[in-house]
Amino acid sequence: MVTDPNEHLSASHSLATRILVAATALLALFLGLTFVALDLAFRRASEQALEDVLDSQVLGLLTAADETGDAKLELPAGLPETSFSRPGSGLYARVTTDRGESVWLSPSALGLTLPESGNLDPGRPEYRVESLADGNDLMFVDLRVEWEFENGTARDYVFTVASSMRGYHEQVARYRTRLGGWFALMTVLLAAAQLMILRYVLKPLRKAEREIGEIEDGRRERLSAGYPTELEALSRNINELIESERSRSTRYRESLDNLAHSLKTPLAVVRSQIEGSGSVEERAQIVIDQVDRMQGIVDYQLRRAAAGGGAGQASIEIAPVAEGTLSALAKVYADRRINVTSEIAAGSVFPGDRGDLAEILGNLLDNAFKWCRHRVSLGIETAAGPARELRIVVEDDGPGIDSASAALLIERGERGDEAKPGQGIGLAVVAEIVRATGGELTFGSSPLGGARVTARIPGRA
Amino acid sequence: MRVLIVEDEAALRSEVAGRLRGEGYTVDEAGDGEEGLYFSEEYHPDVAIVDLGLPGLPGMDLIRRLRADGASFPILILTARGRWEEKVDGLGAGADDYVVKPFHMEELLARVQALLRRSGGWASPVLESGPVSLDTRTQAVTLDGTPIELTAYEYRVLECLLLRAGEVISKSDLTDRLYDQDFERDSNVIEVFVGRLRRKLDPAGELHPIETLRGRGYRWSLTRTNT
Repeated sequence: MVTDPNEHLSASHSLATRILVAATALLALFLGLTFVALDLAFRRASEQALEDVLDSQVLGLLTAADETGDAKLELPAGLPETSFSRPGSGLYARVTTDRGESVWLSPSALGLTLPESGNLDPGRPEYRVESLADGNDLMFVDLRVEWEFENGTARDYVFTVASSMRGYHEQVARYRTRLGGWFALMTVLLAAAQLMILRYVLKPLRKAEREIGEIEDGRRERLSAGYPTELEALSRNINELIESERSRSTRYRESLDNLAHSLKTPLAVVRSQIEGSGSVEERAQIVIDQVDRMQGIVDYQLRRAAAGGGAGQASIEIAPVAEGTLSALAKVYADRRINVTSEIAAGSVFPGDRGDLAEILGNLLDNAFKWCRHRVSLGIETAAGPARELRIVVEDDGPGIDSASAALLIERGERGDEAKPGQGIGLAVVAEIVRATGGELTFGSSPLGGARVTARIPGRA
Repeated sequence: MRVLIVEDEAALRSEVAGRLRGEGYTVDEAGDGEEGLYFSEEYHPDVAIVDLGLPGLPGMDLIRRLRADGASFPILILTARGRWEEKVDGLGAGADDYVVKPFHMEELLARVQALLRRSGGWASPVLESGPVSLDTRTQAVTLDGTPIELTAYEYRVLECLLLRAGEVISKSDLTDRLYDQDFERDSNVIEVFVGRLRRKLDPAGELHPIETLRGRGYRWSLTRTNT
């Protein structure tokens, strides 16, 4: 056995599971990306807020700074921002010269080693995050300014303010917890909605499943109407299939019934002959006749039962079947020198089973070949108009046949009661098939001089 | 004439074979398609009867194989179902006629005869050539309207020659058509039969209906009167 390697991957053949798996994967991806995007945006906003705080602190330092008489910078002991004075407050400040010599360090930074600033452009604040030895993260802002002293000299100083990021980290963690909660709730709600949608969408399928089960159990005849558009064609096809199977099984049952009944008479005759008087030759002849009759009955019933009956089958293109039949018969009647003409309208189709078409053409043409003198003609056309009736016309130049004798022949064929074995059975089978399609078989005389048999078969709507 | 019958149902096969032998045919019996192919290649039958419902190689495929291998003898199919689709398919595959089971033996014999006649180019069951007339149905032979008494073997030789009038038939071909494969062959016997036929059909010795072509065989040299 060949197994598709993907079969194991796709895990389930259930439509619901497939949709659920696909939608859930999509949902997880979507929610995950949204989470990441929101997290990034929030962190950026929080960092921005922290930077703004640092900016205002560095400006406050600049404002508080003053020069001494000997052209040096100094900062007052008591700054308005008390956090600079409290050790370990989480807010630190430092002023250095551009060469890194310390000018001032806030009392809060006592005992801490703040990392050096890098090279800076004057006038533009630069932000960085550094981890200290104790594991705390600090955000720094460094601002390099050029200070002009009153004596006319100028010097570059670097003002640095650092803030602990503990608050920031706590804020982000809190935000993530809350966001995660909302997302979890959303996931549950969406999954529930998805399940409900799925149940709703797949409802017609479950209905079909249930109805088919009921048909199997014999509690229902056919699928009900009102399936969604996508399933309508399917349910219609299923109904046609059921219909055709049902009529087929009815036909088989009828055939069996007919067969059993119609065999009873010849069997009774045979039995009576076994026990009867009369010469052995006479009785043997009667038995032989009855055996022929039984054979005819079996033939007819078998062929009748196998007739397709039309419904639920594809249309069959007629031309190839007709040509095959004509060339087969030309072989069988090779020494009769029969002139055959056929006119098959292009695109003619038979609305039913291929075997039925072969049976109609074979039997009608075989009769024509058998009875004609020299000429046989086959015409196939489809009538214009909405009914699109198919007409199969077989003519010959033989002795001809009138409707009454034809009807008698068909009837005898059905009963298996025939002069010569095989005679009439073919015609009876054709009549049966044509009747099953809702058409009719008519007999008339042909301009060729013999019989003209017409099978009219209604086209499929 | 040599008939190959390919039929898996042994009772039916031996019944048909017996009947054909009784009519003066040489018969090869095959129980399946493979055996049928073998007999066809080995003994070149004049006609084959093939059942469509064979085990192993189906009848339809056997016919296609035979035709693909260049076998030109006529083939009669036996079909149990009698569906036209099957008949048309069988004839399309290369068969020449069909008989639906169960059949009357007379019907089968008539079809076999007709096929043999047709493959020899005769349309009528009565073969007429010059003053000689042979009715394949009754096996009656007349010369200028007078019945001629022939032995079974003489009749078979004459039928072979007449059916293929104008064609050269080798001695071994004639032996093949007269005897089953297990029969001890003696081609001198053929010369004896031909000699007797010449005396019976041409007592005055002026007609020369059967030509001897040295090293090649015999030929019916009179023209066909009806075809």
